[in-house]
Amino acid sequence: MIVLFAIVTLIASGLAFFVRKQEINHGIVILFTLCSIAFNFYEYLHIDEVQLNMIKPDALGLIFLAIISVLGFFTAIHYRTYANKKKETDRTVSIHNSVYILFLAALAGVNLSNNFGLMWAFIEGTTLTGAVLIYHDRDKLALEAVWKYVFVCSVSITLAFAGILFLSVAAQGTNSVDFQFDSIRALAEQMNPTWLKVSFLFILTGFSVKMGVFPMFNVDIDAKDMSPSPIGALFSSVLLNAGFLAIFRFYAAFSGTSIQGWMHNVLIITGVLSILFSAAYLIRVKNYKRILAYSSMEHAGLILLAVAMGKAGYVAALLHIIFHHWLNQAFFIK
Amino acid sequence: MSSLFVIIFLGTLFYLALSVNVKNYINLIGIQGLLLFGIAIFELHELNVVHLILILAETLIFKGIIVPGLLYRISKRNKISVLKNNKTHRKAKGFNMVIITALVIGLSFVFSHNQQDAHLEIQYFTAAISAMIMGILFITVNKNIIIHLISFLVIENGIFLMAIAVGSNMPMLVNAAILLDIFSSVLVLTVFLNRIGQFFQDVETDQLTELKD
Repeated sequence: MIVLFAIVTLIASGLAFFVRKQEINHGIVILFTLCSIAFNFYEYLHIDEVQLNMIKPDALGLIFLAIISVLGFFTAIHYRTYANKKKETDRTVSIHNSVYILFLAALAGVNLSNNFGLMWAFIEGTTLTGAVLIYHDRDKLALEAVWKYVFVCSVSITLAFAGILFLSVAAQGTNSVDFQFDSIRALAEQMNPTWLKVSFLFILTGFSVKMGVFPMFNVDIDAKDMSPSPIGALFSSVLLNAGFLAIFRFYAAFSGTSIQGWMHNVLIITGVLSILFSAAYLIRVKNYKRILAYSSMEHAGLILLAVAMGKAGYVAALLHIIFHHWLNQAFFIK
Repeated sequence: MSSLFVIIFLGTLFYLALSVNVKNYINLIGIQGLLLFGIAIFELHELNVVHLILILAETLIFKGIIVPGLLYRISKRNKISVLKNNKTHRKAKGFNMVIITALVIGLSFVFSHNQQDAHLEIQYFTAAISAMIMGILFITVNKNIIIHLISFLVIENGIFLMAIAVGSNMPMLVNAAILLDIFSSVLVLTVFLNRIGQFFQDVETDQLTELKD
């Protein structure tokens, strides 16, 4: 099914690129998002089943995938209205829709990956496709936003990759590490705690750009501001999810080790700093989209705080994510 | 032989710290690509055709030929040959950077040697950490966007060496996906860099200050 979904994605993206009639083009995207919902349902029926050795739909991934599918569907409908209102050219719409399909597929990949390396590759995929979506208006401001976004994201995600490699150093002396979530979790207790800490710090810093939290939040705000409103809404919701999930996967893998308390402290510091920074900026900012972007950052900080509170906090974090995404999407589009 | 490659690689970091000429930066990044190819070939324990093609594509073709070629084109099109600011100032800065580079390499070496790990390739680990730190440092001290992109490539090269140092064994598919991602991100960055050259007077970060709170 994964292979079929990948093929459907490529065909839909190709069609959206070459079909220049706007109504048909929007139809292709909406149809794809419906396929994505069906795919989500299929994966739900095959929960915890390992596919192609590196894909495993677990409960958390499936909840996030459902959010992507549903919000992706509504965003596609809203983009149609947006494009009509702004009288976008056929070329702009087809490029946007074509890349939008790839963006959704990359996000789905992040949620379904069972391998840290593959998840990293999909996250980098969201950066590349996200860049084209941000550069929608093709003016000076959009160019500034996209350059900063791609550059900072690339550097940050490279640091996250270094964090994944440090796992190898932490795992020296144990059995060979294949970077699968389950095997890392099983081996984590035998790993070197100092290197696990280094790995977690790099990963948190690297993926903070996707979650839009301290320290790499700036470019995320610009990206949400300069992209079309429906895309800004998605960046504030499902892209935040991707960053959160990436951080949470590592947190969950290391949580059975002696560094759990230390990780909680790091998450609390990151969460509190994110809330403080966003609150400070929220007082100054007048632009409505930027206010929403900083509000998302504040919520992301709260989500990290919830995770740091332990198991009861996980449920709170999950509920917060789900409600925040629906409301944020509505505000952005309105 | 691989030690020689590592020493030359570390030498390129010193030269990057001193240089004021964009052409030199581009040449050095190409040389680093060739050195990484040499190192990767030396570290290839078994002859696997797919693995060999992947290494060839990532180092020799991509890092050694395609990226420097693209950067040459962009610097030529946007008429960027020498970094801005007066030469004396840059030379003073370059001298400080050389001292910092020496310190970073020295500390990385001490740090790597203190790791009591038989599996860790210390020479590559030293070079990897040095390249990553220096890449981030080059980004912070330079304003030119081309140098930012080159510094990002230095960090990428550091990560490549890190993967060799720790003996990472990712599945082949994941390796291919990572290679594709890195390739695409550099391509996307060069496309936007070119656009910046067309839209703005200079390719300096001073030009990109409209979006702020």
